Amino acid sequence: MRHLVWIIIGVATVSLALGYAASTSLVLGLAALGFLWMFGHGRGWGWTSSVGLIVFVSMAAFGLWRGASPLWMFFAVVATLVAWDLDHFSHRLRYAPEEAEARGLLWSHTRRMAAVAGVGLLLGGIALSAQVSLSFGWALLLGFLSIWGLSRAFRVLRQSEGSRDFSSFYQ
Amino acid sequence: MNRLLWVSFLIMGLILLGLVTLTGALLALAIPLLIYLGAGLLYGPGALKLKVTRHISADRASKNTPVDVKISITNEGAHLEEVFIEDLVPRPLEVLQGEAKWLTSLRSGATVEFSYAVSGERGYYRFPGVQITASDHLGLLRKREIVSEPGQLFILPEVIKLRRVEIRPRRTRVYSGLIPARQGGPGVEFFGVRSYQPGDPLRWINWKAGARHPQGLFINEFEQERVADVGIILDARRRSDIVSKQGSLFEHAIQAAAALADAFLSSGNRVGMLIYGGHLDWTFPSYGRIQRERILRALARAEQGDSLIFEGLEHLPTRLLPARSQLVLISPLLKRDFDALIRLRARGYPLLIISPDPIAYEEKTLRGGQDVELAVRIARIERELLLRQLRQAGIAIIDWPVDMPFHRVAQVALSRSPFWFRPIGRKS
Repeated sequence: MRHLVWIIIGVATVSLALGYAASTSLVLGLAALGFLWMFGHGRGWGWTSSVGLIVFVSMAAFGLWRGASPLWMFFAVVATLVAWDLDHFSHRLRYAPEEAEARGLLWSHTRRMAAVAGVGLLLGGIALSAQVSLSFGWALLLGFLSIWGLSRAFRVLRQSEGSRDFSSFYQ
Repeated sequence: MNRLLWVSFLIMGLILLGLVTLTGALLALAIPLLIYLGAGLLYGPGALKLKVTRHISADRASKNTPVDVKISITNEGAHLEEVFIEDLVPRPLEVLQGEAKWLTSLRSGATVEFSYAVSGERGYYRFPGVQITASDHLGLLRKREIVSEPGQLFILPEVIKLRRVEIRPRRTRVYSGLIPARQGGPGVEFFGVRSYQPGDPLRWINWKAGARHPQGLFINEFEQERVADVGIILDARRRSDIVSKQGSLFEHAIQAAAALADAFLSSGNRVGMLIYGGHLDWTFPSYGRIQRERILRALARAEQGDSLIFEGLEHLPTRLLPARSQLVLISPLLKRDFDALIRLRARGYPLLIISPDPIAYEEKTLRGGQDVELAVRIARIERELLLRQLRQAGIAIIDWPVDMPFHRVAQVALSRSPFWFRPIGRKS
């Protein structure tokens, strides 16, 4: 499990680095962050994965804005999401009682995550290749709707979790 | 921060950034994250319907003895993809073997069982319930419930076996026992001589006395041995305790209380226990093994406390204690306790004080130095003075340096009649 997470963190780092190939200092910085995340995962630190997710996705967005290859950036975001998810899952998996149980959970989780990543890649790929022209009004309306929709969805998710304290386990 | 928040903030950030910079690719970056969030919403767990049972192998155990806890959970609702089960183990119980936290998946109607072993220090521990967190495989959306399944565990204090503890209360009960009752009758120890009464056993006739006084017959009397009422008072005032890295003086006092209660009950006496601290914990006097268990459980529960009312011993509820019964106070003693103890003695209670020495105990934790030495000297003089005054008032005191095991102290001081009970001019 640990090796799988390391590999995917490596994939995310390499994808970002390939997008930023022109800037050596940024590549070195990304490599350092990738190693920090790997090291943190090895040591069982929870915070490195969250920092990794935020920084890697932000770097991908920044790269796109600076004109880096959208494909690499997009691939890096998907890999980062998978690495972040598996990092958290591996922490949870420590409490699986038996090897068979752990294997079953790992298999189900990996299948679900692979489906999410596959659909994400597919839809993202389509979105990257499609060109749709929108007027300012439409863009504003879409932006408002997406933010409103997300905040509603988020509220529903939070309400369904109940009002009890959040366990550090799932954070 | 919650994982859901991370993903949501990132999605919102990317969408806003895409719209502000008019970069469509940034919006595309949000798509995998949106799908991830959508999957969480789609496969989120339904209502939790779980049946939990806990079986604890023993409801009482001694210190550091492993106790097995077995948890069984049956899912009576829909399939739960990922369930994190956490038995809320009361602190400071320590999980020795196995895990009190489990991650598993539960199909509808399935049952999962797990067990672990705990041990801990003296105390009374309540298991409140089992916390169950169900989520989808991605762990994004979750439902949490604490299923109440109360359980309890007493970790009893260690009971050191003492040899016979000699006490001489002024009043004894009618049942025969081991305590000299200051009354003539059947017994072992010679008590006196009286005139022969019809029906007296012939083997008790004192022929020598009869020969000296030919006008009548005399018989020997022996001191009756009976059981007595014993009240053990444990001082649980926080201000009288000393806490160090090695532990607390109070724990030593509890050990002494357990040993004495066991010894008195084993001799057939009626024993009650009063724990005097933040509140009063009174174990009504009784006999036998059940009373021993009651007292040990009270001692397991015992905690120190602060109370303005029970700051001094003057509010000791003497009405709870049978008149003129033997009292045993286990306390490091405070200066202000003197008057209350004298009053207790004046009311006719024979009083025995077991006093764990707080000065010797605290001295070890202090670094040496002239100031410390002087302070220790002054404190010791004050304590010696207090103990001397109490002894002069007829109170028996055992000054116990807790380095020495209690059974050894008790053997020296309590295994035979103390000197204050011995007749004057007679060699012991």
